[in-house]
Amino acid sequence: MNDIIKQIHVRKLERRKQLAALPVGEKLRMLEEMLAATRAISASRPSKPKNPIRWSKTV
Amino acid sequence: MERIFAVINQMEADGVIGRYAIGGAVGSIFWLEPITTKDLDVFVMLPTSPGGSLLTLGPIYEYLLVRGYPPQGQFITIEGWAVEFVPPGTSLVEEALAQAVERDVNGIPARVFTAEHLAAICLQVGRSKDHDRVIRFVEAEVLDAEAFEVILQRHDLMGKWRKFQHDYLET
Repeated sequence: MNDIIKQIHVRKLERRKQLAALPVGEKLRMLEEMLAATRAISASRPSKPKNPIRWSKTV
Repeated sequence: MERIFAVINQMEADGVIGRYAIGGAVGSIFWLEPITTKDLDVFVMLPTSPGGSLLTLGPIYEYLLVRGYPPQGQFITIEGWAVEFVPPGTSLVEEALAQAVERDVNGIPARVFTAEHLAAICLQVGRSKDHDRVIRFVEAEVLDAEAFEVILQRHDLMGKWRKFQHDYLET
């Protein structure tokens, strides 16, 4: 892991801790916003690849 | 989501369910940063039917249906959320339910599994998303090391924890 990646990782951890420390009601409101955004994105229906990698438990 | 907690609290007060606690991803959000999920897992002790020991989710479905909350597969839609009522299936979940703590959500009390029990359940279940969540619990520094190890020892999970530490936490 080079220095820049380490710095990004440290900042990400710090951000996660800040978010974790928010009041529960605020975090649940953020979850509801995320879900609304996810619904908007999935409504755009991206086209599927012609030859997708398929999940197989036998591999 | 507070409205859902109010409905569940009322169900407990009315005796439709026994002790309840929030688990799963929403339970984790009480301790971690918000993580996305589509459903709410409510772990419940079920009251036994009169004159018998049969445990059934039927009374929960009936109670909620007459209040305008319809079933949808294994879920019941409450205030727009897919809510699943789950009786404890392991001794670890039984303990998590017994030792769950009450938290305030904008003035509404909600009972939730402790961070240590949520992480231990993730370790026991062991899917990739569960491993990811254990890493988040560790990174957020919300697990009490002593309390966590006591739970792991009691439920024979120390071997899994050592492997997990070796695979994901040691650099």
